[in-house]
Amino acid sequence: MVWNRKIAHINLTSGKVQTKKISKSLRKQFLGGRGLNMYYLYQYIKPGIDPLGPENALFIGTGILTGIPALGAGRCDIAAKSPLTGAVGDSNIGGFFAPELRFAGFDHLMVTGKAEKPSYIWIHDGEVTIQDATHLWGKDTFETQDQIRSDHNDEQIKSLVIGKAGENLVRYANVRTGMKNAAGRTGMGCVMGSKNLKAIATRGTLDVEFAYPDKLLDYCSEMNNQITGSRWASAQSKWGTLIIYSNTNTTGLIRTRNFQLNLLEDGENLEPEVMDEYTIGMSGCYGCSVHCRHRYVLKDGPYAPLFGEGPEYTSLGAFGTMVGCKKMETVLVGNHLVNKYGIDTLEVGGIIAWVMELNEKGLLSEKLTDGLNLEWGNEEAVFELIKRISKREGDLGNILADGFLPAIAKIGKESEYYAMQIKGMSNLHSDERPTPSLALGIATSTRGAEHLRSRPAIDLYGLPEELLEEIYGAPMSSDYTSYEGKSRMVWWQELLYAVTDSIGICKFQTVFCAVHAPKFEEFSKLIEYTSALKISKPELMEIGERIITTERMFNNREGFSRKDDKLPERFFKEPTTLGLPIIKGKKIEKGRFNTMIDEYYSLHGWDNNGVPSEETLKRLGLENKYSMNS
Amino acid sequence: MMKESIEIIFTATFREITKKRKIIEEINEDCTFERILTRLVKKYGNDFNNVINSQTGKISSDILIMLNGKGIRDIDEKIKDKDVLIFSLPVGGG
Repeated sequence: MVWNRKIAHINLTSGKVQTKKISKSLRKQFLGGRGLNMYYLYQYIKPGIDPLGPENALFIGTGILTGIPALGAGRCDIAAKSPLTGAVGDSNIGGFFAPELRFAGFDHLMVTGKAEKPSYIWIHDGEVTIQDATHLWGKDTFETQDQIRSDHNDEQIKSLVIGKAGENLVRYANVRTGMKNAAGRTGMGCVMGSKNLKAIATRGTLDVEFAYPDKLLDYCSEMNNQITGSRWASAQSKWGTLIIYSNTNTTGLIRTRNFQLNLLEDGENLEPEVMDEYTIGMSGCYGCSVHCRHRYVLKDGPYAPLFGEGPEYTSLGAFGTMVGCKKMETVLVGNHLVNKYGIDTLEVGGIIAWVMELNEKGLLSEKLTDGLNLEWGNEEAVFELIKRISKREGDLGNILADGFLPAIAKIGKESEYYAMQIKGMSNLHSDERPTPSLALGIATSTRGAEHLRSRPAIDLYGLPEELLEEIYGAPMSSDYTSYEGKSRMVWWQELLYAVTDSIGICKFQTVFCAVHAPKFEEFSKLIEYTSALKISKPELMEIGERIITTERMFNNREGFSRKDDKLPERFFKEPTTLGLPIIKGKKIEKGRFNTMIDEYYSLHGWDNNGVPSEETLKRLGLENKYSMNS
Repeated sequence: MMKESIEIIFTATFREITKKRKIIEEINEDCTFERILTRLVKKYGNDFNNVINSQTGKISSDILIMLNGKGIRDIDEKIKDKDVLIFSLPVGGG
């Protein structure tokens, strides 16, 4: 049964490893993946610790559905106190690592302390050991994975690794597996680097027993058929998330030149079909029937030959629209560099776009430019900055490697206005000024500006209000420029994604892309067939609340509150200047936005400062904050 | 006198079918989305028929049709001079 999978406590300072059972009662409260990670994060990390010190802990978690043949059930959640924001650090990664870890006998890992020398953790069929990684230090993310497979003479080994950025403690270094999968956000690769931990590698051949295998396989088959038969999946399997660009760059829901314009004029060369010229096939993660990842080859030009995987829509913004570059080749090279160095594409793109605007506004001294020509569209400067940041080379590279907030302190107070960050983390290149629901989501996300925590993408589709009421459980406007009912939409999506990240499936295969994609009802069945655990839709929603409230408690303990659930001032002061009539001239109205935050807090049962009430803590079983029931 | 016209933008599957990113269509008074769709079926084939959910008679919820940036569901939606109509698919992500 899936219940027999354990947690390994790995102390890198002492070299000791302890394996423990995960109690069923804890599973019922937090499921697995992000949920359990948040429980452990709150329990084990003392308030106010240095995220780069040995007292920070790194948590790795598979989901309760990990290993089933559907819905991309290969997701893994990685958490720690974030060295970028000081708040909840949490990032989710696809690929094949999580099922392999489960096959090796473990669902969760807790890594504490700091190794004396470069090390990696090796997990093989119930055994956990700490190995020397001196020969891996300095290698890029691809080479590291190859070397570990070669060392063990086993091509089936799956690894979570860091690259140069993680080794150099870039505060938004990420954790990677395969060619392209990344736990991209909040600097989890930096935490690994701070522990001298180059990789976690695993190989498992232990069976996973599911409660009702026949029912499970039939239902997985039904899910897969539903998804492969849908229009959105067939489009994603051809163009991946790049397809979003066609919509956003037609309507005006995209950021260009940092935050100055909301359409990229003459941006045809970034249209998704341009990728056809470079794509040699599509690949997917474990248990996925969509396959949304391009494998590409750059045969000609100064950066050829180059073989890579991706890019996502995020990289299209990072190395395209936000920095004023208009060629797909630029995006492909930038994407390859961040994959190789192990650095968050969104953060690095956002911070480069920011310094380009500072340069334009005369707010960056010539000395600080380090001899780089930071004019919009200069791809050479973009590539050079990715390298310098990852290696902490030069003054500018070193300053930017620490993230927005320390960089603002060094560059000057005036630069803050142009930094498109929330809680110290860069936002996606979407422009949320015309869409209050999307704006509320990025402001209130527990991990900083972020579209994958609560984004109600279906708000953009103009769905019938009866259908919206059926999904979200209360009346709301179908107009995406409206504020009416949107707090509930964000709250509901936030619960759904918290559960999604805790059962270990892909968000794209939920009510993110399409109304009829799986949601709580389908999750209930899958959990029962997998584990025999009966959890109803309302109970799942309550688990979602428990997870989000635990994240909120962690952040409150670190000093975060309502003052941090904010948007950059530009959202309120500068209306959009381009786009279709419904979008042009839009900005967020501060009064109505504050009302949305009040409503959102109220739905969660938090007070008007964003602190969970005693009644809410009691209802969710979190009343004893320092020793939650396990 | 200038004829009235609208801009139709195709993305994703619709771009594949039409082999075009954008076309300009002349319109008459009292034009509706249904009339435009009928024209597109004639021009580009039956794939455009699937835009309508035959059970509800409305635009299918797994298709995204935007009129001047706003998602629409009713086929009798009025279309007027200088409107921008986008044929797309609902896809989220990042």
